[in-house]
Amino acid sequence: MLGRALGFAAVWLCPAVLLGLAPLLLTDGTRGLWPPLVLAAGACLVAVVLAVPWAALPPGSTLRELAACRGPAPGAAGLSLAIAATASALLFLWAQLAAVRDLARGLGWPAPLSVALAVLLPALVVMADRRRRAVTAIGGALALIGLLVPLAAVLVATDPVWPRVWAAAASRTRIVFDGEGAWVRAGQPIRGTGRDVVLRVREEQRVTLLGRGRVRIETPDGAAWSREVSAPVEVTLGSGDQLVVPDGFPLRFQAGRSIPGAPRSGPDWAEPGLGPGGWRALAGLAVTLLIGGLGLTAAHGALADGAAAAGAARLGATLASLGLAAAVLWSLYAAWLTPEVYLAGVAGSEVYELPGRVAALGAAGAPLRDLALLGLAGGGLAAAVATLAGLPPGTPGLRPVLLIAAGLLAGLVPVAPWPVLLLAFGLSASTSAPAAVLACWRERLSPLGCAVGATIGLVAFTGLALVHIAGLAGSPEAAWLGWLAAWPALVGAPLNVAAAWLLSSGPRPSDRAPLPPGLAELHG
Amino acid sequence: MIPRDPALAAPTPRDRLRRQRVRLLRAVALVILPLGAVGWLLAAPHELAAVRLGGVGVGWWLSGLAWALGLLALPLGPRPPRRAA
Repeated sequence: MLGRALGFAAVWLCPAVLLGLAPLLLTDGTRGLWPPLVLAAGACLVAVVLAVPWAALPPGSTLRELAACRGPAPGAAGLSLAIAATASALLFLWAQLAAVRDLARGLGWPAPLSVALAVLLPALVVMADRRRRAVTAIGGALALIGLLVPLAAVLVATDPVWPRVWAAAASRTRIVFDGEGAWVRAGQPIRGTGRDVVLRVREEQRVTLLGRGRVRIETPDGAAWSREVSAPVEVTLGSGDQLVVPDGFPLRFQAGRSIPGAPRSGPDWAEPGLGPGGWRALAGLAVTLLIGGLGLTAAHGALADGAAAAGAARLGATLASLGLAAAVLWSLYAAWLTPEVYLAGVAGSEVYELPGRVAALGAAGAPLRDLALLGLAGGGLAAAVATLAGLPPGTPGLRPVLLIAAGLLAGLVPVAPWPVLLLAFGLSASTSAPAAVLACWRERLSPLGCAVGATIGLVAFTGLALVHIAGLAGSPEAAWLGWLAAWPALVGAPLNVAAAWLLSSGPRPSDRAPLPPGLAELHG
Repeated sequence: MIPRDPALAAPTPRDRLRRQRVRLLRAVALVILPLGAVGWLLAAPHELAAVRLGGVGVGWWLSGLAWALGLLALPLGPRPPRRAA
């Protein structure tokens, strides 16, 4: 059961989640807690709502088998649910591979090679189908160990009382370069997520350009200075200036000056204000992640393990919650110990390099950092294999095609993993989640209703997402349409449920009548 | 002949489903309601969530409580049926 639980937990501890959460908490020391909290609640909801009925299905069952258990579905029902499951899987895999790409860039590894390897590994595992369960268990275990062991070492070596760390981080009068740090003494290559790294300087400071390449300085009044640098040169940047250097360019900063990109002070980090979107953004994120988890192909794949699935899902949700709490602490300690992570805009990977930057860990820092990175890789592999297991059976050719398509998207489309992950959750919330919940718990259920609901949810989600991407709906902060388009699950999920509910109406079942055969089988 | 006590009779599938639904609703409420309270606090005016309690923003304490209640919901949710061997 532990192996299955670890496989379940890996869906919520995948690299796209962990790299996506880090910048949120580093930006906002209070509201940055909301996404990991909602994700942990989502894992608990999946275990509570779906695990027991799902355990009654034969091993390897997916949403299609669950729907078929409740009655013979018309062709359209199977089609719309299959499209939704496949698209959700593609988006989820894309998010994982985009995280691998960002991680590789952050570490200075070749990104295309890393993504290709990340495509190849799950493909090999899926081909060797018998090893699938073992691989998800090992991947989940690595994800959890990679989160917990290095974090425990950092806590022991620094300060194990996190409330004291939060208070210290939130009380800093200024967030500045430490005089003893590597950025001030020898200088370091700066790594971002694109070809160029843009540094926005808040107060005047001297920066030494140590590398070779084209460097540009833009001032607030619109003037620009550009030069091909071939030998170390020191420049003085004024408040509001922007320094643009190639990714990986080595720089040295002035001690005691504010770190570009970081909040001004601890209180600015702890109380940055409600931010763009306000309560609407909190609500949109909650609906997307909570309902989306119930329809996620990866979650269904992790549940598809037969009789012990219910207990395994409960344990898995506990482990996922534990891992997400650890991810919060990683970001908190990174904000406190290494404020330089803000420099190039936080991609997320910097946070998991923390053990290598904590001087108190000494020689143990580097292997602990490698363990954290191995955990990210293990979680990604387990989540990818679970996603492929959640696809409708009988379509073996679909899996490698999806992996290759996700790899190409991650390599060619420069989008961060978090927005793609939100699209995967949003699509699942609008299409598969209502069908999964109603099939598990509603007595009156029409396969046609599920089909129509899923189709309406799919159309609503796709339409609103495209309107948002094209920028036609206006800003989410200013207009209701903009808000709904930014969080399409807010429209897609209720429309889906309403259609499925209305089309499944009928006389109230009598207390004396037997349960419909499919439902009796699920709860027998 | 002693009449059989209806309370001791084996529950029908419908009774089992009804009990499972009650457990489901209880567990879902235990996950969702604290989450709603945290959401309200985070969106509350005057940075209420950042007010310090024991040195830490009150939003963190309430989030920890919601986290714990979510975990508590797991054993209170629907139970797997006992199947014949």
